[in-house]
Amino acid sequence: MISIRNIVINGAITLVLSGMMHDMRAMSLVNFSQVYYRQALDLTRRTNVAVVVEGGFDAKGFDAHSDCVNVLQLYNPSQSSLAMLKGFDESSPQGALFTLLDAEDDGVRGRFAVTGTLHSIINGALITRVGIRHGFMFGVYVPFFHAQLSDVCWRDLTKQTTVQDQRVREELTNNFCANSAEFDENLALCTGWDRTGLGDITGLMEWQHDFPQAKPVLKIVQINTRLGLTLPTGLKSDSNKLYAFPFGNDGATGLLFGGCLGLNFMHRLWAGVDVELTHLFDNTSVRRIKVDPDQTDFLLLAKACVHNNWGMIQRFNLYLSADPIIAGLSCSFYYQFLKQGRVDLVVSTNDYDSVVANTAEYLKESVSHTAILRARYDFGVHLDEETRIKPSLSLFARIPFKGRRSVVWSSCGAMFDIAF
Amino acid sequence: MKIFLKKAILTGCFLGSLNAPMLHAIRLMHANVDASSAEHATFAQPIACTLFSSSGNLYTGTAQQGAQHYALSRGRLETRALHPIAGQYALLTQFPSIDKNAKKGDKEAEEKRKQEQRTANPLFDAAIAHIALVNPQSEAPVVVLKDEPHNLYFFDKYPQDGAHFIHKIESVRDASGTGIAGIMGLATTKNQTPVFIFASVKPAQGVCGDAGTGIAVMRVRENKVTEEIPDDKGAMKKVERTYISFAQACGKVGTYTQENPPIACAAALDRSSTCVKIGGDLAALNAVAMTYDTMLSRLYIAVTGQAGTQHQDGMCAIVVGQLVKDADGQMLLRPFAPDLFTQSHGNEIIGAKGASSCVSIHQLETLHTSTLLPYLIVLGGNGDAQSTKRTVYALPLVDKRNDQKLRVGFDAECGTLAAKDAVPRELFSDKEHQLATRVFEKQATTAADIYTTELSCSNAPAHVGGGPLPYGDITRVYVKHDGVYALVTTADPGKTAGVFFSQALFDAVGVVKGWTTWRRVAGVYYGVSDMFMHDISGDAMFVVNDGNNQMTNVVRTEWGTGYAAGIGPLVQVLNTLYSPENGGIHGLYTSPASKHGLHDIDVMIALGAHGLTLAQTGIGSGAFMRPLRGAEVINQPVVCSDGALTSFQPTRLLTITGGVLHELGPLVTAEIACSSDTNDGYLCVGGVGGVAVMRRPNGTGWNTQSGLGDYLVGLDTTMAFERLGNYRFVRRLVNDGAYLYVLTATELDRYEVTDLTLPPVRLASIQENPWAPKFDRFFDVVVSDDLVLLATTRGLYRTSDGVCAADVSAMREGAWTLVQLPNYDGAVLQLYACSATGSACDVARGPGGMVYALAGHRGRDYSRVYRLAIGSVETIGVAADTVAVMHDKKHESTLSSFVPFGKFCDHFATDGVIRMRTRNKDMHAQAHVMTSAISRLPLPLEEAATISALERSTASGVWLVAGDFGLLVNE
Repeated sequence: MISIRNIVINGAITLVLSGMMHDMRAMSLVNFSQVYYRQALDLTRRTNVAVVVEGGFDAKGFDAHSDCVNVLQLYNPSQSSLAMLKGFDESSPQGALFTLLDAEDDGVRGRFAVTGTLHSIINGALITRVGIRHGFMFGVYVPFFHAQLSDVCWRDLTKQTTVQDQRVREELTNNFCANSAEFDENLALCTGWDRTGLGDITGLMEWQHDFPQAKPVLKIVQINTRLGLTLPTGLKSDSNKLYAFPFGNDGATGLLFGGCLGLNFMHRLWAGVDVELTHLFDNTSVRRIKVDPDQTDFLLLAKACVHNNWGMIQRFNLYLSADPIIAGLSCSFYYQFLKQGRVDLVVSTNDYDSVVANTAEYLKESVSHTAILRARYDFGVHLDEETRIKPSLSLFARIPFKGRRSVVWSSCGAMFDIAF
Repeated sequence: MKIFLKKAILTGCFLGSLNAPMLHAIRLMHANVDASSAEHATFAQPIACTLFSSSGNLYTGTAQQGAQHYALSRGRLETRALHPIAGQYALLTQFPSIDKNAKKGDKEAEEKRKQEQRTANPLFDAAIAHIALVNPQSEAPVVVLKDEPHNLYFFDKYPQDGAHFIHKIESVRDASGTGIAGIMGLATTKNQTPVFIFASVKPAQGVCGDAGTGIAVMRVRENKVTEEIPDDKGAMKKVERTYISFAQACGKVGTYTQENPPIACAAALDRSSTCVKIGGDLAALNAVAMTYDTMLSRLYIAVTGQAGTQHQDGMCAIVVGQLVKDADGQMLLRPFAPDLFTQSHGNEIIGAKGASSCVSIHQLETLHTSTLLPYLIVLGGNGDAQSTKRTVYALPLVDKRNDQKLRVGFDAECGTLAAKDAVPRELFSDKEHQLATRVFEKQATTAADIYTTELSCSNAPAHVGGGPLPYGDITRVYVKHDGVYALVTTADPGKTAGVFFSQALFDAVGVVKGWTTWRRVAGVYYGVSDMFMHDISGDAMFVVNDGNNQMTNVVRTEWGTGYAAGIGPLVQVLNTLYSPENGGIHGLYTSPASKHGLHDIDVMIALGAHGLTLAQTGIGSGAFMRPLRGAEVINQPVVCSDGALTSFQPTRLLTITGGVLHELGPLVTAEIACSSDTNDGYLCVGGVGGVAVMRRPNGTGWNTQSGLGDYLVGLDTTMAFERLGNYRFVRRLVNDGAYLYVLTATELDRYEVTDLTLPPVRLASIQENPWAPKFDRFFDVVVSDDLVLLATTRGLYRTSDGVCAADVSAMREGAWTLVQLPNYDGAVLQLYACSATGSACDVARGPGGMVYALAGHRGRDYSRVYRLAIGSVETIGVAADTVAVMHDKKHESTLSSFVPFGKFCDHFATDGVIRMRTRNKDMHAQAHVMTSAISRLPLPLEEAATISALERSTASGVWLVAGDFGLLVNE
């Protein structure tokens, strides 16, 4: 999901670019996590239109122990091709192959170290916001996204010591891509992908009000509240491709609500805290699920219709902003904590066990910590008061520094905003 | 490899030299001889009697004075020590009297009072004659002292202040109600309530068998009384206390009144007793052995005796005792079998008819088989006492029931001898319809109904061990599950004493159809008088002699690398040769001296990644076979490289590496194949890369007339391994008769051993074939005569009716028939054959055998073992009933597996006593061996990933576990 919004905080627009959810439950932690842009906004202006573009680089993963790993190792350090065959009937092709292999995954046998490169990460959004009256505003955010996964490498870790090792190599891992495709011809585990598409469109209603303070240091207390809806317009996950995450909430509609408390000191320094919670409504989808607790998250052969009970997305932001530093120029620093609650699946068929399906690592909660720097220049200071159009430009950089079960990347971007 | 071997040998020799005396390194249990003492004994005094409880507690009584409080000791397998229980003091009365005037808190007075209550313990420093045990809740020994053979001591269950309450029955009465000369034996109702103790007594006047001889019955009762004792405030309060009363009952059956009250006396069992004599009174009746069966509630009494002097006189040497219900100890004695014995034959097992005929039964035990049928195991037989100490028989027992599954009306028949053709009836629980038990109902009534001592196929079910034990007189028989252990204290000259084992073989309905021949087990090479086998840990405890015929030692086996005077040095060598980095030992092959191609030697072959080690583990033939121990095996080791014996010298430890063996990769199977026509013997090995055969350049092997003999005589420097065929992933090699069978994952081929250069006949293949079933993959094979059992991913197949192994071909329609396993149509992963001779190739010969089929699916994480009864094909070939799934049942309506495992397992092995299954390392646990759903063998497998073999050494009988960790043994 990409949702970008402008929020009026003390005469500024905060543009929220929310993260992206995808099937593999790196979700918003594949770091389109939220970014705040603060933009000075003339409150007499009723309408803002903005374009934001952001390019990501240096994608990396954080595993369950918060260790930095390759993006394709965020859930499991290695993928088990033997466990992939578990949980099926003896008579099924998977069960038959497992029987004749007559070998157990001992932590090495049948294992692959999977690596890949996530790059060409570009996201952006078109934003429009209209001020109504009495501090109420309504905005629409239309995000888009592009990403590419390449250099996918499946390195066979199986030894050649025992007869079981050699049998597994000969019957399974030496030609793993073709062998796995035999179970599902659409399965493309060994190749990358290149995907472009819309994110989830968000509509957001806000209310904001400044409370002036007659104190020597504290000058303004600003309250912002908001309520919105995200629509499932984003590109959904592709379970046949390796880690092909969705560009939104993967078909789930979301209800967004939040609030912000901002404090202005000496008319030049802003500090505040912003909290935003997103509730995703349950939906039904066809997923690849675990049918045995030992299975690893990228090698799931069973597909089933499941009811998704999404966990809540929680975003917490602390910010500090100097506005203005000089005429028209402001700088801000944000710390963002983003947490995605675990997803519970209810399998809609009696063939598989929901308890087992819910042992998947990608369903568990994920966390990321990000630092954001932003500089904004308001060209309006050079224009007459009567000028109808006032543009501004923001440059920003996001630097994720910690996480758990999440893929993150650093990024730089720009936002051009026009106020009418 | 050479460096490794040198290092390994040095280690082994060093250990060997450290432990030159035989018992030094053995796991000795310690009692009153210090562990650091040079004496290396458990007791300083000889052990007179021992008793193992069902929970594994060992009770020992010393034969002479001097042991002091160790006169009676108790120990457990786990504690590795025996602790004294014959303290210097015992309590006079069960509850010390309460001094109501005593001042509260006066500890000195209290202690003084307790001391006054104490008395000298009569068991302290005494010589013990007999021990028995009752254990309705906790174990309580019953003891007869050597110096007081007419008295009986009973340990109360509850000791106080470190002293036991010891009850005493003075002057146990004989059958005439007068005092006795002594107690000859003890038995108890064990954990059954009410508790009774049985003592066979001989009269004060005369000898055993004279009037007055009988079975005294002692009753043990718990009585509750209410007493007043002072509470904390000095006030008196009422408390209920339990005390035990212990007294002799009136053993004679009768109607007693106040005018004619019952008096303490034994149930009569003398020369004139009708339950033992046939015709006239016995000429002699001697030692009496007893055992009580809690499931049948019968006391079995065995005697040795001699019939009267008349032609029609005879005797039945087993008597069945039944406690009369609600009669407080009155006991009915009945003959075990009616008068069905024939005159002059002299071959009936438990009875005889004819002037002065003798029958001698030395020991009795009951056996309840895994098929839920009761048998009486008898040591002795028809003949005098000396000539009957090597034969053990299994006799079926009647347990006739009415339709309500109660014995109402059939009490008299319960526990008596069943007819040999009796068909078992299955009894199910009323509600769940689960199989409760099986019973024989047909009583033996004629001579044709009973087994005889004659060694024939029809008598095979009765002959435990397949006949007399050839090693020496049996001191004692120990029965556990489906196994019978014969303990030999003193072997015949030139033979080695120890423990010998025989396992019951069953037919499809669960009746014993034969027994495996006696084989040495547990790696015990010295005189043994008693033992206990722990079926969960696999460990055993033995009472053994010290080499001077003094029973002073208690030893135990343990899982590990063996001990220095046993197989330990060989294990050390193999574990150094086959390191975990190379996968350790990938396969294990053991073969007895009886194998064609071996000349009076036992061998073991350890298979590694690119080589093998051939070790001679025994020497001698038949009963004269002696396990090689300590440094005997590892002396003069020879290492040959390049897969050739170029540097071969006579040795007992030959390692061959490289050459063709290197190309084969991990070796997993081996076989010694022989040709009767050319008298050539070949060592064949198979692995991932194919099959190789060790032979000379001209294609000949060693001469089987003279080799393979001691120091591997028969091999020479011209021999080398050569490839046979072009195979991948060989699973098993089998030599049966004139053929060598090669099973790979995808085909089953048959070679003629006479000329291995001839192209093989393909018996089965995974290739699509309109005439053959679709197999997918093969896992295991058993070949015995015309019968071939093939375990595949699609189930278990056998050669079809009328098809013999020589003719069977994949191209022939109907060559294979699916063996339908109950409620299962998946893969069969392993076949574990159990035949009378111990060789899988004999499973369809002689009386037939059994095959355990391990089935299951790793993906669903379950396994199960099915039992198949295999009939003999020697005369009629393969028929419809040759392979029959045994009637293992859980519910009335359907057959089931023998053992359902909750988890998948890779290998299964059993001897009828221990059921071991292995599981290789997975994501959750290291490799391990389990014996029950929750119990793992205590093996040091912290780093183990793969267990490749569970085998029993044919020489010493110890269990061997091989894997990437090397080799571990229970010794």
